[in-house]
Amino acid sequence: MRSFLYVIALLAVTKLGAQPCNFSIKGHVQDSVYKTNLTNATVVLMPDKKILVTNSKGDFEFSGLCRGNYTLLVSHASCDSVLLAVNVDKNIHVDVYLSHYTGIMQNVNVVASTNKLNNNGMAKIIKGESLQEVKTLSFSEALSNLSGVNMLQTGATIAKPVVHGLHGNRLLIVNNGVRQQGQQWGTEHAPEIDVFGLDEMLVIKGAEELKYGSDAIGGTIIVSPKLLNYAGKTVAEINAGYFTNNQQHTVSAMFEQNPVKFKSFSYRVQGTLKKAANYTTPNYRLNNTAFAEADLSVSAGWKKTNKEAQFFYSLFSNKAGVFSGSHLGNLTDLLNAIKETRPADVFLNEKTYSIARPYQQTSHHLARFKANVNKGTNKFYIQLATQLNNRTEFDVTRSASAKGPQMQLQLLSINEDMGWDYAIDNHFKGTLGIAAMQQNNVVSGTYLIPNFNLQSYGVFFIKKIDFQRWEFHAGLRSDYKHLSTTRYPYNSEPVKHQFNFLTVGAAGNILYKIPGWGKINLGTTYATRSPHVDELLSSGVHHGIAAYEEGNIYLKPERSLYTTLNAVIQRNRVAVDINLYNNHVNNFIYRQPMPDEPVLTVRGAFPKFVYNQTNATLYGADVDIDVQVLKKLSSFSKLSIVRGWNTVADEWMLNMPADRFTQRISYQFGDKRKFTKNTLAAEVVYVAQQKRIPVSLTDYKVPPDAFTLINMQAGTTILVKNNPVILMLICKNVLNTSYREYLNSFRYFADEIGRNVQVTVRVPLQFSLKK
Amino acid sequence: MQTIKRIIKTGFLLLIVTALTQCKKTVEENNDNEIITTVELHFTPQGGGTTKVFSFNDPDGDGGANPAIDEIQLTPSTVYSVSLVLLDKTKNPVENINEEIEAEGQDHRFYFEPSSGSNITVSNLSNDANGIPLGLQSAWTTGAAATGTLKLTLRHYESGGKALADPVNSNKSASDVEVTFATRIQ
Repeated sequence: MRSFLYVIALLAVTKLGAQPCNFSIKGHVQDSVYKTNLTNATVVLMPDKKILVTNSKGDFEFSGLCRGNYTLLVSHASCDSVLLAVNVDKNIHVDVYLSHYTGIMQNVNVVASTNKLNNNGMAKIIKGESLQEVKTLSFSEALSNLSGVNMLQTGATIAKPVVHGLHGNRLLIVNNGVRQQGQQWGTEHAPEIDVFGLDEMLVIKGAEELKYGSDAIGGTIIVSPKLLNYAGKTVAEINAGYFTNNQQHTVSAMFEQNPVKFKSFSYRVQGTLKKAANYTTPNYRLNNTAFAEADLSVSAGWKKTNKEAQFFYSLFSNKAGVFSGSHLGNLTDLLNAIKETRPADVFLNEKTYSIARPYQQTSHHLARFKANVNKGTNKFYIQLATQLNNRTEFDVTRSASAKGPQMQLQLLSINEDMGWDYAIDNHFKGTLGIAAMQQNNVVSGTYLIPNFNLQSYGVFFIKKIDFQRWEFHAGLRSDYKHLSTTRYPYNSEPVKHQFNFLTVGAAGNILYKIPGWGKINLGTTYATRSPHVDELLSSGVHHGIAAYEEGNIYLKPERSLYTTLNAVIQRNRVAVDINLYNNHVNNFIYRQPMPDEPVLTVRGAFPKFVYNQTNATLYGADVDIDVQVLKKLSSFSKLSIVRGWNTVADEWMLNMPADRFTQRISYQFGDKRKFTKNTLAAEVVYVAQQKRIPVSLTDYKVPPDAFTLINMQAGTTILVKNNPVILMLICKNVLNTSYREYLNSFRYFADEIGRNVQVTVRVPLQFSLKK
Repeated sequence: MQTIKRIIKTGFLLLIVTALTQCKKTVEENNDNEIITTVELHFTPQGGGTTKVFSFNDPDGDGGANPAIDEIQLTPSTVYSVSLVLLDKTKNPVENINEEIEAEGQDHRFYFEPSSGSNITVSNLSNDANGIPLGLQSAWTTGAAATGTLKLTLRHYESGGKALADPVNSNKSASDVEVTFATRIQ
């Protein structure tokens, strides 16, 4: 991997005069996982603009430096940039750990400044430069860059992540250490998280999940912002982007400071604005698909040697139109829409930012306080979090005077977590914790789910043993939930229910490191998920699929046994990550069709579906292969396969993602004067037709045909007054291909989004402050 | 140890406080919604006679108890003036939806589809402000004694574009009502 990496060291900040300038920065660059020395890494020292290349041992040295606070900008050809602060008051040694690619799940790690995750089960990560590439996208779209992650969509603007075939309440989403509490059960309910506020996005399966719940049947998504800086720095970053397809413009800004006068205090403010007009497919524009989003986050921290306290607040707010041609009154309408090759002209080709009914409006507040105390090798933490999720849905109405929403859901959640991290020595570590949650849901408008009150208490224990080439990880968790629900029907007495659930989760993991080759990891996770309120008590017409759905109060918890075998091999110019998984779920909750009991309404008869339980097996493979073909030419391949089998009905399961293969070729050009990190990449995405569908369940339209898309991408970094300015040009669906995705509910009547050219500018700014 | 104890104490205190703060709001369902629970057809024989009313009635809305659907019973060889009345019985007092449909007549349209052999002909649909059929009023002509069905559909043009030639399954409009009545001429 010689010269595949290079490092730019950016030296700025204070120089104090009249000091002897005889200090040095010695550095060593290594691969983060396999600890191989990285030769031919380029190190640029600013503002002197000294350039060095690491020797065969991965070492570099700048000498004759003056005393002062320095900052290193560590970059990578096709992935990452990291700023590293160095205070030179003596001769300094810096270890820089790099990982050479984005697709395989390690990235640039700079010592002492990582959000280190103590997980050795399956983990996939997007961070660094590969996260920068997708920051302008929605949460789910950004995450879907990982193999094994798909999207469940309602058009191009509303999407939920699907991990290994599962979504909604079967996935835990942990945002900044707090489990996200929204209305995850709804297929049109996207996670309320701003990607610009994040530093890394992870998907994990293993013992670490037990910190957040015993019910992660499908896996856990962990997203976190950058750690606050206590290096005396003042840093800002501005991002701006524009998309041609829907005239979307996006601006995001961040400012953070560790004031020199209050070394133990640090804060950050970050905000994002997005506004998009109706998006267009290759042949027509879909009316009322515009959206607008405004997000804000504030963090503040106080840190002493053995104590730390953090406060975090974030607000996500969004208003998204739903394509007006997707409003289908009944089954006849759905069947008519399916017969047509395109929507009626009255629903097409308005180029506007304005949003009319039907639309949804959501806001999500998260406030979190966390404090740690370290006593020797013990660390105690306490975390308190409050979330308020507001969701309002505005349907098509007859009278223009109707102003209010047709459905409103307000979910208040309060979490308390306490834990103890201990380390007996370097080999034996563990975490013991307790967690509690109180939740209250208030609904009004059309009945879909009842008001509810949920109390939950959990306790967990995770143990890690590290022994030479072996690592063992194990954990146990139990949660008790008490759920009480109340429905207030019109003109009749309230309907009340009480439920109690006791769930258990467990995980075990063995990891073996093969020096010079990589690692192999075998893990098993047991999870139990209690049925959610919507599965127990929902009732009503689901318009997108013209189905009448009814809950079932007799549902039992789902029990999942999940086994993964993961091999990461990194040798010479080839890196391979293979993940095989099998997830057997007993009591799998699904919508069972009741063909003999159609529900007759004023809009005709709707097919009825009742939540019921079966046994299911989900299995599949994710394969990532990265090859350094030539010195400047790299190849990245990704393959995702997932299968879902209903073992009781003995047939395939509905809505399993189709097989997907992505091949990317990236070329690294040499630096041209001020233009550095010049890259050009092309990508081919092939998605097969989903032929594995249930026979007992009539889908009104066969899954869409297979399709191939071509994407292109170019990037460069310009140094403007020693500040890097990162420019990126991305073109998605270059050939403007018409296609439909199986997991998009719009596949019944409209094509997917057409060609979309995206331009983004990112400017990280470092401020020099005199002492 | 002092600090740890303090943290644990604070934690439990906060836990208790938050567990106690449980607010409850009671909001009845369907306050602002436009629901059609009932479709009434009022038949008045032209030239005089008593008015008969037949209806589709689902007072609890979608789901729950099944709707009650009357059989439409008419006299042979008669011309009836028919007016439709649409109600929302989930509201108190019961809401009449005719006014809304009339006010938004250019975005609504009723279709009457008698089965062949039912010996019913529906004509003279009342128009909207643009002179395109709306159908709140119509004329029904019966033939000889027969049984059959009649499908009544109300289409809503959410984005406009209503035109004379639009069929009942036009993809410009969506169904607000689709009810099939049994008919008997005797």
